[in-house]
Amino acid sequence: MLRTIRKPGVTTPQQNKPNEKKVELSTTPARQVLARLFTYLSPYRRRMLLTIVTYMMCVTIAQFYPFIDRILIDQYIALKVIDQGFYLVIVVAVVLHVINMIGFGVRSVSITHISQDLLFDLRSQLFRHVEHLSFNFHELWPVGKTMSRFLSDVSTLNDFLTNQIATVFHDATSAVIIVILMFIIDPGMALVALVTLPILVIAAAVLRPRIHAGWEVVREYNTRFNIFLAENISGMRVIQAFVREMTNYNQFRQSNDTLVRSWLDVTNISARLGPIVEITRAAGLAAVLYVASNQIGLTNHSLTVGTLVAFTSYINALWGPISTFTNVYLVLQATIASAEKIFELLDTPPKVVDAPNAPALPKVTGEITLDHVTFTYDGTRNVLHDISLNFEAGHLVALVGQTGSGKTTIASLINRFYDVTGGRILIDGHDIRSISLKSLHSQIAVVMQEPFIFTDTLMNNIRYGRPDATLADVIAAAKMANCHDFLVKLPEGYETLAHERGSQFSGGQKQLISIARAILADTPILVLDEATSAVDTQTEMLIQEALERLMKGRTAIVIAHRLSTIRKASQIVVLKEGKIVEIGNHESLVNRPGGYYARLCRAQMVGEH
Amino acid sequence: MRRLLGFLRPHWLLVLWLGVLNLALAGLMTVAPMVTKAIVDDVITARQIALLPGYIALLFGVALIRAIAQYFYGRDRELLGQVVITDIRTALYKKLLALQYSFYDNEQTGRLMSRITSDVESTRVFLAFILIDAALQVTVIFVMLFALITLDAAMAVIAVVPTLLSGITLYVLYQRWRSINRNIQEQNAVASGVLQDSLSGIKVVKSFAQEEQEQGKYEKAVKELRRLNILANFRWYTRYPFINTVPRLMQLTLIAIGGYQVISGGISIGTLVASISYTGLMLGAANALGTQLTALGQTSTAAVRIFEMLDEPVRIKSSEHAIRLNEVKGEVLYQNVGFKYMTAKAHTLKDINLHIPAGTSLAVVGATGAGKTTLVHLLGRFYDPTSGSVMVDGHDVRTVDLDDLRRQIGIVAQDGLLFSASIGDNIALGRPDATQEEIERAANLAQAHAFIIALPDGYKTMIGERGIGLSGGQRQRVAIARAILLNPKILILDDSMSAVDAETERLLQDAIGSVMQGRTTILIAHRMSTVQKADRIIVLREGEIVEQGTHEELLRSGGYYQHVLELQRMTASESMEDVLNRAPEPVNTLRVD
Repeated sequence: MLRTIRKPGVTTPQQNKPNEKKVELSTTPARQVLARLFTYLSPYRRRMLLTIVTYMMCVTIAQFYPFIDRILIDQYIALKVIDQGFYLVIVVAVVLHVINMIGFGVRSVSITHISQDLLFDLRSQLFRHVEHLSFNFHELWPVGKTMSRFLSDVSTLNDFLTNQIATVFHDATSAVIIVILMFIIDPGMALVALVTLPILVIAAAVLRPRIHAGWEVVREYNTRFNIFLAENISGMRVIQAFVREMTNYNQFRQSNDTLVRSWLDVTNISARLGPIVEITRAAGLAAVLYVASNQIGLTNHSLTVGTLVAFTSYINALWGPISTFTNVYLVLQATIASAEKIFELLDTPPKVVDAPNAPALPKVTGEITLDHVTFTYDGTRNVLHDISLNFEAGHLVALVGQTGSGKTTIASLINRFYDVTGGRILIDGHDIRSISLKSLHSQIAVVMQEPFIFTDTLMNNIRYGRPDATLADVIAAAKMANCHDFLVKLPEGYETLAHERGSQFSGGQKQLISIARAILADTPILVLDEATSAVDTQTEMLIQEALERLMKGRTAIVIAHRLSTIRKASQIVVLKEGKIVEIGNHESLVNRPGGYYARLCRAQMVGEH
Repeated sequence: MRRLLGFLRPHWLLVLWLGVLNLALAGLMTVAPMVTKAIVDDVITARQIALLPGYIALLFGVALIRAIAQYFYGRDRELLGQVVITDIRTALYKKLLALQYSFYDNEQTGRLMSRITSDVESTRVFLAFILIDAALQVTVIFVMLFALITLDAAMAVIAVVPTLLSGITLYVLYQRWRSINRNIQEQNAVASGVLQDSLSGIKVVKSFAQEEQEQGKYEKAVKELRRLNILANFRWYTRYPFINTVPRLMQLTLIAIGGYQVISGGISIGTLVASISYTGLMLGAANALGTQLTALGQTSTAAVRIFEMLDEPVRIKSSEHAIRLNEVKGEVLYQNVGFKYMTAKAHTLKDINLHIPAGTSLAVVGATGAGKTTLVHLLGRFYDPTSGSVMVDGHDVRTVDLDDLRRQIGIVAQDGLLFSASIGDNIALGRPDATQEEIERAANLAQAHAFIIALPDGYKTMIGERGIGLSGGQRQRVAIARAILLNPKILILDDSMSAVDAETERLLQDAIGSVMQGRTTILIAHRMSTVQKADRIIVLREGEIVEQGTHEELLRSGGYYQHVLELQRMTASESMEDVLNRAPEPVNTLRVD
């Protein structure tokens, strides 16, 4: 019976279940998340200060409008005197407005600069972080999930930082100034006007946790929906070939319905805030009018028309922002949810990191030693058991064994895509954990089982490991890799733009391009992962020839099933269930009675004959 | 734009309801200033204090009605947004399901994703929020204008002209904003493309230590995005104040002129107060409208791209009077078939004539790029031939129902693409109703059963995006099981054992040998052991059939096939003798574990 290692992709079976009912909620307090978001503003303190000052100025001026109107009414119109003073006040009003508008322009442009710079910082940081995360992460997180951090979550933050912060700030400042002005005009009346405000505050506080939880659920379903879509788009050929359109369409409807329902659930709760705002405002206004009219009776004309006008304006101006504030509040919830998701990603530590002050690996000859190496992906089952091996510099080593025997794992460990669980790996006597990852990777070239082609020119694809290579270098490498001939036949030659994943090229062509890439990278160590199997015989001859040129003078670790490749190896390591069962060269292994390799050879021979 | 509104048509009742609420909210706004006017004139000036409670009650009553309207407005606006978004997403998804392979040949997943996620989201915000809210603000402005006119006709003139002026200015501004926004959205797609590439190719990125190069590419894209955003905002915010100025100037003019009229006794002071309130409300509405318009530009470009995708022609679909196929015998005929990819210069297939009798097998051999995969894609009608015709059981594939046709064909593609679902569900991809027994039988034949039951949750084990976590060979076996489960009359194996190790391949070949019984099978393979199992072999070269016949016939012909075979021998020669000296053991004892 075949035993298969438990690779990381399958260790968390619940990962992407599309319609799972339970949604785990976050535990980080909202304030903490926001506080952290605001730390991103700290590099822009000076510009922030300028913006805030301008803001304060504008908001104050704007709230003086009713104040000025009051003066015009009470001191001129009500007294039926219209003189130069009246016009002077109007001129002052116009000048104030102009200043206000200039300030508006300045602060808006300034806040745009800040928020755009901040977004740039955040995106770069996120990208850098994701790029440096270890393989454990990339195998667990579907590309769609990571993409949605960059797309929907960052754009939520974008909206927040660009539009909403400004609005919140504006509303908060004007509220403070309005309250101050109200107290200046008439302290008693001001108290009356504000009497209903606490009701609003309490209502908001009650609804708040439910709304927050609701948006969390929405985010989660949204992410799942996106993963579903991303996968459907990239797997569309298979869906069509298997006439799965209806089934997937139903899954789509279901996924969409779940998302829509969770959305409506939360908006139904938040819609309740609207009427509360409306009623408390009316109550405030009514209270002012009522008290005012009593004052009219009592103190004889203490309430002027101008004051009444000003207060009506102020109450509207105070509640207006509060009513939009509930919208902002929704955005805020969404923002916190998005920020949490982004921070969660940023807080995922890369498992494989440089040791502090790790020196660069000097140019190596390529001698590799595995010293009692043990490895497990999931902490429970060992994929490699106590492997000790020595690969001589400049020689070809073939790793042989069944699927799941640990060949790929050994190759990944040499690349330090994972860290060994036990033992150590040495290159030219350096423990690979003690040197910098970058210097390690720049001395190892990898040719993968499924070659990856970037959406870029073929030129850039080939010089991927050495971006400064000249066209002549690239052509030389392509010639050695036997792909120059078909590349020059393309309409735009080396400047041809590859489609996503190089979809216009065949598997063999992609293979040749990736060999050219490895040749140009010119590293002392080479890892080849089953790279020889997916093409027809003629192309394989081309590939074999290219590989021979590539492997020459390098330590080459090859995971291959082709006898022709294995036979050339100076060392053949036969693995079974994470252990070395046989080791030696072809001649010494092929006739060993009952040997695994001997049987493998026969199977292959029968197959090929 | 008109087309975008078309998405609202099926929900006209909901839109109408929101319109009514809209009008009610705006209309009721005029009451408060009227009450204030009455209080100023009747209570304060004329000292009829007894009237006050009535006015206050009126004010409160109106607020109550407004509160209720507000609730429904807030709630149902979201509902509208969600029903519209569902319609658009569904339309897009249906389109994606219907679009042919050639569309996907030229599209990036990231780009398509941003259509269906961020573009749709922008459209939702537009239709349900910006449009409806903007309608509310415009209604408010007009209602206030109307209220002003009824209050005092002379005042109206002061109000109407500036309002019109600012409307025109807004429109001009908006047009400019829109063009920049189109660039912003495009740049957004570029940045997503870079991101998608780096994430999918992370293994290559890391192993070539090119994290910094990728970082550079991404930063370049994002920097341009930043530049465009700043530009757009700069243009908007440095011009927008002019619009904001109009209502304030209007207010001050009202006070000045109204003040004269109050003194001359033309109007009451209450009327002046009310008109100031009205202009104040207009000021607020104009402000809000400005903010909403900035978002408008972003949306309309998103909508344009959504429609571009919806308009993408579906080139391959069942014809109206398509023939329904229940079960075919599996006879395949290619008649003078030529094919050229849309973006290619040269033909990929030239004048192919090929007859595969029902139940027989055909191996297709040829160099990379010879047209092998294209040839089988034409049979499932994933592309239509440029010339000639492909027939199944005597029916031109273009005349039969597409789903019926594809149900007859089981394809195992080169890369065993798996979905984020359980392994069992992945095998049952083409037959979601299959029983566990059937699934296991198929997996057994595909040599996949053993490794599947060794997984933590057996057939229920979830596998990640693109089948990360399974090796290439395991994925291919799952893909083979998937095709076997379909029990198709026509089976296509497109180089589907390339990543399987030699021993498993031996076992698979036997299994496939038995699966091939009674089916028309097309094999694209490179190993002679597989190829020679076929009843007939064709050799393709640059899109043409250069040789055909049985294995023996081709061996004797001394042509390309024999040449290829020799090449293959050479790659595994020398000590082959050593191996052959020992008598080969029977194949089925080769199982190691």
